[in-house]
Amino acid sequence: MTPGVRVQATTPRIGMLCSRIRVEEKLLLQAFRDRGVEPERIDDSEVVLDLAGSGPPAWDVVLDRSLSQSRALASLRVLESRAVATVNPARVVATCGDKVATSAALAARGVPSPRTLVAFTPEAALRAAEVLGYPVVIKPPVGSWGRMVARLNDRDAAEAVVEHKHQLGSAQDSVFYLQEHIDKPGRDIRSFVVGGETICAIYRRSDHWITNTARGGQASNCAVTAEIDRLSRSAAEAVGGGVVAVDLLERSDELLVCEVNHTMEFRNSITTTGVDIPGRIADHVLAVAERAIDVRAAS
Amino acid sequence: MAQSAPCPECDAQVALGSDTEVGEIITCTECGADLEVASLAPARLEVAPPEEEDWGE
Repeated sequence: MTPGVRVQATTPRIGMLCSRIRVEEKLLLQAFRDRGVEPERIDDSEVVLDLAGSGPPAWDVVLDRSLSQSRALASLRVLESRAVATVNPARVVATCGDKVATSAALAARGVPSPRTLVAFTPEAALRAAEVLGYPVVIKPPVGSWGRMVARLNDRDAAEAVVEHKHQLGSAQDSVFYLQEHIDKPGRDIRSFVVGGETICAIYRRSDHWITNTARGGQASNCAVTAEIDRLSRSAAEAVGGGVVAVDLLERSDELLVCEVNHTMEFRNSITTTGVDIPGRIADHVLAVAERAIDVRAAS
Repeated sequence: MAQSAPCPECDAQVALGSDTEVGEIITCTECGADLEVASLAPARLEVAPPEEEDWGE
């Protein structure tokens, strides 16, 4: 869709749930303005949501850009109970925000991903590590930006990390998520899926085995091959669709889906890919809003 | 209109672009502190809230 003032009978009422206005949120606000829509910002540190509210919903659709997994999930659940359309829906956020849920959703759809074991005691976690073999990767089920992700090269390292998580962490830290280590070629692939379409992809290169751009990984364009497209769409569909970023790992001649992110960052990927990612997201949100308006008009 | 506001951490004047949004996170060019634009009329900066455990993408 060419950016410009939209001419339609009802101007969609767009809410944007935010924690901070980062580069991504500024670009999204501008993309909506380019389309003749001024989103209402909903600050997740100030908002009070009324579960017993009455009357028509305040927004046709709310775009979740909250940084907080817990605030986002709670907000989306309340909004959906009030018949507000959401991007992404709570079920997508619940699935992507918990790596156990993500892996389970991918496995249920047969989407290839690194072998993953889940255990709940240090002893069981160490058994799982031995099953996978060293090096093995341990990740917190809830977390992002590569935080607390560790590569355990041997039994000594595994014992140390597992014991520290168990003793110092909360009950949540005793959900041990262990994954086979993929010897990737100094990079991984992040693809962007919007409304069921793989719109672009980047390579993330790093000398460190963690390649997140939040951790210094360098982005470059990655041509969307038929296989990247197929796997990305399958992964997005497995978690419930919407607007997601899919992290893919290369192993010899196959691709594995590692993670799916539900409020992706994209500032380093627009110039890199030449794709107007915020514009594509805005178009998708407006399409969801139009459908919500049509449904309400018909009911 | 371009304006500036003092950094609450080091008191340097931090320039704000004409497209600055309330709630935007900027970095003080003097001390490197992450700052949140608390208001624009008048311009006021606060130290940005620290990253929380469940923040991410």
